[in-house]
Amino acid sequence: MKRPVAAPARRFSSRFHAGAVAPYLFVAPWVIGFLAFTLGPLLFSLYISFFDWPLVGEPQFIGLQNYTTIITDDADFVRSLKVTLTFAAMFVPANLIVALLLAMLLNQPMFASGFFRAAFYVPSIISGVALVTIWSWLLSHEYGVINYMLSLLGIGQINWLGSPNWAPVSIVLVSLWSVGATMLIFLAGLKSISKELYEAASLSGVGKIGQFFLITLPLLSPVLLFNLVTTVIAAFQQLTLALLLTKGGPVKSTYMLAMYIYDNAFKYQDMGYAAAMSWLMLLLIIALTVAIFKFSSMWVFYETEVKGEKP
Amino acid sequence: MKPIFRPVIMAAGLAFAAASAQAEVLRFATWDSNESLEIQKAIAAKFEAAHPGVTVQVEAYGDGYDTKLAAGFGAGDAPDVMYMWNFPAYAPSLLPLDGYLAGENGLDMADFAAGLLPYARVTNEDGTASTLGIPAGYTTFVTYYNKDMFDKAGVPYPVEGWTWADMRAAAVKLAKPDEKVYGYGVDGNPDPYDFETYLWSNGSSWISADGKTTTGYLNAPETTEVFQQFVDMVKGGEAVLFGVGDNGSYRELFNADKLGMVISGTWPMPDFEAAGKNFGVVGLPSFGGKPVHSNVGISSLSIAKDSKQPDLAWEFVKFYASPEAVAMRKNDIPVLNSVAKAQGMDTNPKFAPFLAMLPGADGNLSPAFLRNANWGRAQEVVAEAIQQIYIDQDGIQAILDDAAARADKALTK
Amino acid sequence: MKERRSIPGSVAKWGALVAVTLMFLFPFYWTLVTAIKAKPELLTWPPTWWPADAQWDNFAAAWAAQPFGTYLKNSAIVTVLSTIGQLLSSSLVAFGFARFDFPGRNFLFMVLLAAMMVPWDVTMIPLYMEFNWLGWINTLKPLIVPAWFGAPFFIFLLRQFIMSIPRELDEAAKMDGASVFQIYWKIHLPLMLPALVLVGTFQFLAAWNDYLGPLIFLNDESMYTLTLGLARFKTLHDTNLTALAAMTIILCLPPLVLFLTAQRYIMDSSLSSGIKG
Repeated sequence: MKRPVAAPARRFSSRFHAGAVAPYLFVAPWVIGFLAFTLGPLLFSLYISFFDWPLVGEPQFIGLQNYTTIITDDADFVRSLKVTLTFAAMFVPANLIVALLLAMLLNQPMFASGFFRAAFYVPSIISGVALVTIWSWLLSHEYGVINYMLSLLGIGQINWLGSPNWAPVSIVLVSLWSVGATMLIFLAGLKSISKELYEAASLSGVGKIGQFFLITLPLLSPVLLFNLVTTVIAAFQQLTLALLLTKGGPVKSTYMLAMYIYDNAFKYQDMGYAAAMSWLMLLLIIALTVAIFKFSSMWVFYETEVKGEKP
Repeated sequence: MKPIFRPVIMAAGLAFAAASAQAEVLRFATWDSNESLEIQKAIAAKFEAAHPGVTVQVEAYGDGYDTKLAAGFGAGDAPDVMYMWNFPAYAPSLLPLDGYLAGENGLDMADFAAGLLPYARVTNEDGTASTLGIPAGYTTFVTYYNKDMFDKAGVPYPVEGWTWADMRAAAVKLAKPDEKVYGYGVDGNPDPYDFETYLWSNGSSWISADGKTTTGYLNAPETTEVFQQFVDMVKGGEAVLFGVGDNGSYRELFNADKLGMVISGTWPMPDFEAAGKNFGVVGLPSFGGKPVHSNVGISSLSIAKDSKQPDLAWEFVKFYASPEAVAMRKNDIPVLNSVAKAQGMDTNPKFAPFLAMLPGADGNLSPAFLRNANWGRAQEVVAEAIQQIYIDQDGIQAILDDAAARADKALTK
Repeated sequence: MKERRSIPGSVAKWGALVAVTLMFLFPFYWTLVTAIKAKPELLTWPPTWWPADAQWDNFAAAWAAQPFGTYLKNSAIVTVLSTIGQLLSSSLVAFGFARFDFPGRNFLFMVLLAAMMVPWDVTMIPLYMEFNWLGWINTLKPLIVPAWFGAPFFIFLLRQFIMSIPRELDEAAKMDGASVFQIYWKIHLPLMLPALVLVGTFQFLAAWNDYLGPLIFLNDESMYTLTLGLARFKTLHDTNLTALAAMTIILCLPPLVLFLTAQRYIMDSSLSSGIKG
């Protein structure tokens, strides 16, 4: 890496100015891929959202009618939006808190830490189809081992997947089983916080809770932002669990927006309507993300922003 | 050109022609899996043997069948031949077979079991009708009963012509709710298509004959009666409710001697046989002597409208409906009367009830999806109402009234 | 770090650890038990914790029920090739976003984030048409090639990591005469190793477990991946619970081995603290 001073030392600067082209070369792969595999299809879907576009047969231009119908005259849309928001309100905090707690537990020096880390992550390696089969079997009302264990504790049987009140909760619980990825990202973030900071804080008499709020949270905030944004998106796009575990039921209690869109596209074969709805969903997610980012400048802290402030 | 090259080029040309003939691939999509899929592959192999140079690519998508098919049609890349039941939904992309069927076509149309062909006929916008599929296999609905459980409880076996009252009396005697042993299994999340069997048998249906409204049908007193009966059976403890928060695998319950009776098509029979179950088959019970009408689950074969090789596809469809191929389908009922007879099904006690249920499926009853092209959305409303009924187990009439209003709205979408 | 922990605190910590571990591992245990039970025993009540007569050949039977050898080959090709592509492209793009100031950067980055939010349902049909036009349907290409152009999730993840690497390192290398590409390749890639292993693991799992992609883009059984085979144990009228459980266990093994090998790199604190320079 060390080279003789053959190349002249360039001007010191906080940012690269290595030619106008270089940055674009770096981001080019994604830009090309985006144009080919995302933007093209996306614009096409915007186009068909202005049509009555059956999967097969002749499309008919109908202007904004799909959008107006969805907003003003589709009780199922409103209901599935409510279900989605309720789900997100449970799913996002539950996932973030559990993932962070587990990561902090694992971040402590302890015996067999590798084993526990693996144990918490391993459920995340299971494919959706298998995950759903396992859990519908565990949570089965009549023959499920979880209800059996509850009965040993003297708790009555819960119809986890068959009661409209319990089904959304069950989906969140099942999703927590796969919290490993979020947890790992937190853990990697925690690992990169220097131990000296905590030692210095300890020496100055700052307690554990104080250290969490003064050191851990601020230094973890970029990672937290990442997990927050991706978890919110995952909540809105949740399809596998709803589709395979409860089929949106019972009585549509887990019928989320992503599934309603899926049904419109593949069950009712009404592509225009489905496209319009997914555009509304996209706008909603973008609005939420923009809000999170605007708000994030108040609490996210990039280490590179503080220069030379090393402990 | 030097003469010596000519044979070489000709040979190369021939080889190329042979290679391209070799590459004639017919795509065939099926929703079957496991043993039934093996049967499809065997039939396809027979067809290949009879048509040198043709390769049949059997595509099996299991649970993902509809998603895959919809994507294929939407992108203009559908299989040449495919399993089909929901003809109205796919009608615009299916090849009408009337041209092939006219005149001498090698099929003995009179040999097809009564009532199957109308399921594959749809009415076009101009009022004419087109045949979009040829049946390859079918099943009606029957009652399976667990003989060992009946013997142990000292209950006589059900007999043809029995009623739901008989069924319930037997179920009460078989049930031991403390041990999770039940007389009958009520599906809490049935396919409304299958469930219409009970409505027809009690003199009702989901939708009017002209397909315009569900009000007065979906919420008719006869419909309510059917649901009330099933709810009473669950409440009384003689029946287990499955499919609501359970895997809904009544087969394993039946095989484990925990379920005395279950109503289904041919699907579970290979499983019962494999488990060595001592079981009997009897027709559906009637609602107080009213005529019994079973719905029919048919696997038909259709051809994609934009298939590049419709003639070859038609040869394949025809082969599927030939006595040779029909006789190979061991997991459902032969669509050809001659094959059913040759296999002795009309006298075999395990199969005769399936055949006996069929004439009931004929006549003026046709399933809701054939009566209205928008039934898909309405059916969602119905499915939801059924779940609500089994969860609440109360207020059935109100739930059905509400469902009828919403289903009617969905029909006009 | 050397501080002494109180005994009750330690007991509580270990209690919590063991309880949570049991909750996370029990479903696996139950899947294993389900896989080796004889079918009638699945429904005994109360359930049996270990089968009276363990049917170990259920595994062989499930494997033999379909051409899983072929599926395995296809899954392996897709998984390995897409993971390599994802690692190279995502790290490159992430570096571009994290370390350069160029006109349109913030706009492009917002587009990147937005791209992550595009619902799958509706791009699917146009994407199918496009792949069909390219002649890629019924090949493994639709499952591999897009990974070579980076994925927003991974780019975002790596960018966050690169942003926490002090710029002083870059400046020092630059003064030594390194080109930007060398800085990316020789300084950042090694420093990113924990994050790259993380991305590699995630991509491996995403490709290995993908169900809808293979379902939509593959037709012929000879091209199927393992998840398609797995899903075929579940049909409209029946679920073969034993076979599904057995195949689930088998399918878990490669990612499990990978994770157990990789986690040392993800977690090794000496590597992570390397980020601190």
